[in-house]
Amino acid sequence: MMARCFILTLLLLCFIAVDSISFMDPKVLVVVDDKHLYQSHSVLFTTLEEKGYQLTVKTAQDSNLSLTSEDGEHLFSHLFLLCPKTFGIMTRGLERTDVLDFVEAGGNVIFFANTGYEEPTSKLFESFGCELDEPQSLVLDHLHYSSDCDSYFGGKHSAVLATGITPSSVVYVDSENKPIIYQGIGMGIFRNRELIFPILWGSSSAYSYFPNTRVTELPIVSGEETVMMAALQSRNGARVLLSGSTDICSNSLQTTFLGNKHFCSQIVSWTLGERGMLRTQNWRHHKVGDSITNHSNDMYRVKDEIEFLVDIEEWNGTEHGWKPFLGNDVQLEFIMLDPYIRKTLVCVDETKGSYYTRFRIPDRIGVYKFSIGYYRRGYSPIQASQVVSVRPFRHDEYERFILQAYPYYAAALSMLLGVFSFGFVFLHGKGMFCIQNP
Amino acid sequence: MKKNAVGMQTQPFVNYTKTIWLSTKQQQLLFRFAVLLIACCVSFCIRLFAVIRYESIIHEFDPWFNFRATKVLVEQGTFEFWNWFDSASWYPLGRIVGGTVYPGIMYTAATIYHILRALTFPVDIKDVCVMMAPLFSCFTNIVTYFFTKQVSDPTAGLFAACFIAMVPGYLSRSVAGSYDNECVAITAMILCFFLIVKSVHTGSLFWSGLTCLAYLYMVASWGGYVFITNIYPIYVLVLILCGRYSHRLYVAYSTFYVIGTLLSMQIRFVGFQAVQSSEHMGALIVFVLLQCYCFVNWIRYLVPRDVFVTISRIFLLVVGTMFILAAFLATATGYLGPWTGRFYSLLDPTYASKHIPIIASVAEHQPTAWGSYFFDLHILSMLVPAGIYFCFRNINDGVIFLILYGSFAAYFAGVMVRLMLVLAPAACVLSGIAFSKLLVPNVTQLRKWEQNTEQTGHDARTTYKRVESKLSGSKKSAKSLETSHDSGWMKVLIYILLGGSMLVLFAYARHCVWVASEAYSQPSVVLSARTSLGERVFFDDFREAYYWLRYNTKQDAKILSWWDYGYQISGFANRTVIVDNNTWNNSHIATVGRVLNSPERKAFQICKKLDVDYVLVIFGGALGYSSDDINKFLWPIRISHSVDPTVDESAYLTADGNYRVGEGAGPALVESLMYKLCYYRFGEVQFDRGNPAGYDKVRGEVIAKKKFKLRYFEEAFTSRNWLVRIYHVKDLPNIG
Repeated sequence: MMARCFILTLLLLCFIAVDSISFMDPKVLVVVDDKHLYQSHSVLFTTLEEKGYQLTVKTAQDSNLSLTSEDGEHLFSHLFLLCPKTFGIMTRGLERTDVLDFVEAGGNVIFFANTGYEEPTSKLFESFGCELDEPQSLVLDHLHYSSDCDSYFGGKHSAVLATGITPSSVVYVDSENKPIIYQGIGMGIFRNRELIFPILWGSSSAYSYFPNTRVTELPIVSGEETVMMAALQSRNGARVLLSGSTDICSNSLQTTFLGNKHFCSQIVSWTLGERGMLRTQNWRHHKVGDSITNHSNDMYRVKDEIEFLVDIEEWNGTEHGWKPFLGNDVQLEFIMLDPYIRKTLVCVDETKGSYYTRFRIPDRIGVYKFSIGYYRRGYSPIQASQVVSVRPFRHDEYERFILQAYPYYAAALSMLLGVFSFGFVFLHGKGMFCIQNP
Repeated sequence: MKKNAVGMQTQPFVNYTKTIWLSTKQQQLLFRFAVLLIACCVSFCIRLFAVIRYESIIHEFDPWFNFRATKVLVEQGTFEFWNWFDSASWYPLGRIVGGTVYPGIMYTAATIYHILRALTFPVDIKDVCVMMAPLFSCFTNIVTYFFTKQVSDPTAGLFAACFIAMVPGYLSRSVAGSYDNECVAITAMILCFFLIVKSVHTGSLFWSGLTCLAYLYMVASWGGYVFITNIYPIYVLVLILCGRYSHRLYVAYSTFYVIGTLLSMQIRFVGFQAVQSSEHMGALIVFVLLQCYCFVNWIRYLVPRDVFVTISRIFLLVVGTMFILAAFLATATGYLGPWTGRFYSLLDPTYASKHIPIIASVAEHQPTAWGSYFFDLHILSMLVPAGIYFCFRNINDGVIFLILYGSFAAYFAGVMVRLMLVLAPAACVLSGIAFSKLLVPNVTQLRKWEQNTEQTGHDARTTYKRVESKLSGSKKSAKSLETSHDSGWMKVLIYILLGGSMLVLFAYARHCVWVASEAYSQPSVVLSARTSLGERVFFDDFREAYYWLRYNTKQDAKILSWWDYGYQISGFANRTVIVDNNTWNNSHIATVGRVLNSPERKAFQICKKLDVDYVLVIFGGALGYSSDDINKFLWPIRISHSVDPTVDESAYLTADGNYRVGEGAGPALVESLMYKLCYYRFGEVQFDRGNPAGYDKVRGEVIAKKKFKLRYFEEAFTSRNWLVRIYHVKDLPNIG
């Protein structure tokens, strides 16, 4: 985590890119393989519409699926893809690179894959950092499966119980404690990707393989590594939700005795940025003793005692406004090549979310930066810094008379006296020192 | 060179001018003044080629910093300048400019600027800075005249002044726009020499005090003040050893050492170095020796001889032991600073290239090629021995100083090209002496013979004899008067001599003007070349790129480039740089070198750690500009090797150990960021019809790897002739 903080030194300003997409916009583009798929997920979409999202539903056959207008303006801020079979094949204007660009620009993407997906879909998944198992494979678990649902899906032990759910309370809070049933493809997450994380995974007896087949090779993923849903929190705040199953959120599983309905609405609302979007506001720092103003110094002196304040806010999607963020693990670093000071910020004003710390600037000149790097699962990352110079003492800031120097003062004075008396004796003495030049 | 002729004929005209209302002495003064004035004009004008041919612009690299510092001084005042902490360079370390700069030139320029402003001249600070060097070269003329006059005679002084007005060795550093420390420091140095000789000649406290002030100005202006700090004690030693010790010397040196050292400590950059560093110890030791010598002399005067011998033995023993003990203690406790590399490389020319790549990498720190002696001194290099000969002919305290100065300067100039600057004045003074000693007696003689033929008569002859011997003081002329009967041959010889001198002087002047016009007036910010038709074409790529940075990047963008361009980027583009020409931190430079010689991914990581936004490289392959980054590239490798031994130079070379960019180039070179940034998309363009695409004009071969992509960097700007290429450092990928 720290290493990432060092490397990533983007300024706060960098986040305000020119053509970035705001997650607060309610415009969602839904692309489905066919109308049937939309209808089978109508419960989920109705919930979204009730929340105020403006859904534009298109099938893959539609002539224009472009995410941007002709002059490059972004038309949507969220993208909901339910088109594993047609994505990249029939979807004109919506290729893999378009989706990646959309995420680059800050747009949120939800992609539900399913059995029988086509190659572009797996390519897109790979770009985000996870690998889908074969199109005809399923997650199987002979110990943890729902016998009720299993018969509905053909009795292959493929309606497995998802026992692993992300512990992040921002992404999902399990308030009902009902089982979540998953029926779909398993995924593996690339180890070298640090931004993608699993949301839903199987029990230790789960594995991903072709159903009704004898297992002859090692499954791609097995056990708790059998990921069913994964999420990516990108550095620019955009979120991506990847699922190996469309069924998990389909109407058929949104029954009262299952946790699927709650789970789906929770993770979808998280992905659309209703929770866990953080921002810092009002960076202010000043010397202790100076009056608190919004204008911050850009130069301090070594050994100055300074106070630092910042407001951290979290977006509240239901109330549609920024609310103070309350945490106890936000750290401030004071960096010049290396962090010289690292302090945990203390929340001093819960109504504003103001965080505070004070410290003494180290006795080392240079150009430092105040830096907050806050990476927590489920929260959008805070990576912001502000540069200040730390100058040495001015010529008139040193102490005038110091104790250690008294011997030198004495020496100077005695020298003065000595020269004076010598001069006096030399001039008025009676030839004691006179040398007659030969 | 007519003014030279006027100068040396002042004396022979004596007889004709008796009828004019000016007295002889006044006429002499008038002539000298006129010659000096013309020399000043010439020296000023000859340095204006750069302004006329290009524009009023600050040159090269260091002057850009001086200019920037001067602006701070003028705009924000002395105290702000004194306390200036520059956060826009050496990011993120910053630089305390006030304490790491020789502020003499900035204060001088600011003073001139304020005076002109007070006189209601609406001058711009830039123009003051540009004109500083020509102005101070005029002062140098005058000071050289007085120095030579003090050492030898006024005629030699006039010669020396005329020589130094246009000597290429000095001119190279003082053309208009070359706003560097040296341009005032040479004036200060010669002023110091003049005052040293004057104070030793007179033994007066007044002149010694003035020496100290001149020394202060020198210390404030240039690191080369160490030369004075060391040559004066050596001079004192030599005088003592020659048995020329006098109380004049005692007064002059003791005053100089005590007050001069105290004054030099007032310059922040020097500070306690003046009593601690090894370079200054020579002066202290000689000071102590001088006191001992004087003390011993005094004792000898007071006591009988046999007692004196005993006393002096004990005294020597005690003093010697104390001295060795003190030296040992001081070195052991670290009170005495270690010898700096730059100093070692003065004594051993190969030291730097062996041990300190950062010193060796600077072109002007290389040993001098023999050709540049002739180029920079022209005939003076041949006249110097003659000058030394005449100095030995007529020895005095001042002349010994001159001989010492000349020989030391000649040695140092051989070690480092840039110290040719110190040799040039010495060569001028010595040549001035040589010329005056050669010509004056002979011309006087000639004049005499001519008058001899006009006026016959015993009376006249004796009058001339008296006048001549009084004026020239030369025994030779008096003697040759006696043997005037064979003046026919002599006359021809003298005419030949005169004619030859005229030719030589004429050639010298021509050479100097040519050098000033062609070689030393390049601002190096703007390049120029001649086409096959002889037209002059200009390449303004540097400014194009720097102004692009200034107007297209964020205010706080950090630019990484090799250190050569640091000052120019901060001066032109007003952006933060990672390293610049003030090479105070070797490891930081090595880090930048590491960025340039690493593969892209690693370079990207270091860039991110240093918050770099843009990387700037100079690439001459398309234009044929040979001092570009690829040609300098071995230095970044060596310098980062000196800090990080994992950097292996041989990986950047071909299998047989050559440095090539074409087929067979070293694998690490092809992978390095520098290579990629320089040659990015270069292989797609064919610049000339005769050469294939990707043909590097400087290296004369087609590059090894033509097609490659950049992953972590993106091209932001490439100047018209591809000379400057700027790349943006990408952000970390958003989706990991």
